[in-house]
Amino acid sequence: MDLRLDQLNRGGHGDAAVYLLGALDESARASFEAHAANCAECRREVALLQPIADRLALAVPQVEPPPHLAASIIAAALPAPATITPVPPAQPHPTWWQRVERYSSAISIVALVLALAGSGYAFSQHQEVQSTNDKAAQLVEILSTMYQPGMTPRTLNAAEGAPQAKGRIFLAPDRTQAVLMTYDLPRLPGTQAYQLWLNNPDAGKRDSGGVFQVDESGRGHLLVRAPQVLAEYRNTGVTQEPAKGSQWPTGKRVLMGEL
Amino acid sequence: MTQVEIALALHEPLGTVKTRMRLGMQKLRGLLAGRDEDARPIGTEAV
Repeated sequence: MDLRLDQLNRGGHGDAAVYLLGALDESARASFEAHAANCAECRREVALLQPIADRLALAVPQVEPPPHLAASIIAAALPAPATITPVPPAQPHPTWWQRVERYSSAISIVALVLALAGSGYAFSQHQEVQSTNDKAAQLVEILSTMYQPGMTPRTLNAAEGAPQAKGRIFLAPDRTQAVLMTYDLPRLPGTQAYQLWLNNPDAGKRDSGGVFQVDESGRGHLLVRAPQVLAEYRNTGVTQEPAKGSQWPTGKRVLMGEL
Repeated sequence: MTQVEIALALHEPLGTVKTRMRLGMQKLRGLLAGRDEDARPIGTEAV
C-alpha cells in the first residue's frame, strides 16, 4: 500500500459510515474506535447512521432457514442417543471452571441460536422474524431448563407402538418443567402428534406433559410443563394422539419409563 | 470488502470511496426518514 493510501486507510475523523459498513480493516477499525472515544462529532454520526446500517442487513435477498434447523441444533448439543447411561452419582461441588466447561456446549448453542435470530440471516417479513425469534426463545428455554442444577436424565424405553424408539427425560423432582428428547419415532401426519403423560397410579393421577412432533430423522423434543412438581409422578409414557392432544391416552403407546 | 479493496476494484481514489459511502448513508437516512414519516399512523405526529 502506498503512503497516501496508508494514511487514508488509518481510520479516523469522518469514517463513521465506513466503520458502520464494516469496510475498515482491523487496525483502521481500532484506530477509528480510539478516535471516536474522544470525538463527540464522530460518536454522533455513528449514532445517527447505526439504524441505517442495521436496516441494510435486511435489504439483501432473504433465504428461508431449513425447517429442521432448530431440531438439528438441539440434536447437535446432545450426547449420542445410542449410549444411554444410568444416572451418575452426585458430584462434589464443581469449580467455576468445571461449571463453565460443563455448560459450554449449551452456551455456544444458545449463542448460535441468538445470532441466527438476530442477524437477519433469513427473514424478509416481520412475521418470519417473529416466528424464528419464538423458536429461538423456545430453544433457549429448553436448553436453560436442561442445564439447570439438579437435572438428571431418566431413560424411556420403546413400547409396543414403536419398537425402535428411545427417549430420555431430563428432570428434577422439585420442578414442574422437564425436557424430553426422543429418537427413532415414526414421523406422523399433520393431524397426529405424540403426547407425553405423567402418571401416579397410586394416587389415580394422570396429567399431560405436552404434545410434540418429530423431524424426518425421527427426533423430537418437548419442554414438559407439568401441573405439579415431578416428584408427584411415578412413571411416564408417550402415546400417539390427535395433533392438539387428548384429555387421556387414546392411541398406541410408543415410549414408557419410570421417573 | 474493505474500503481499500473497494478502491482497488473500482480504480477510484480511497478518499472518493469514503466520501461516497458517507454520502450514500446520509442519503439513505434521509429517504428512510421520509418513508417512516409517510408510514406513521394518523394521530401519531409529533406535537
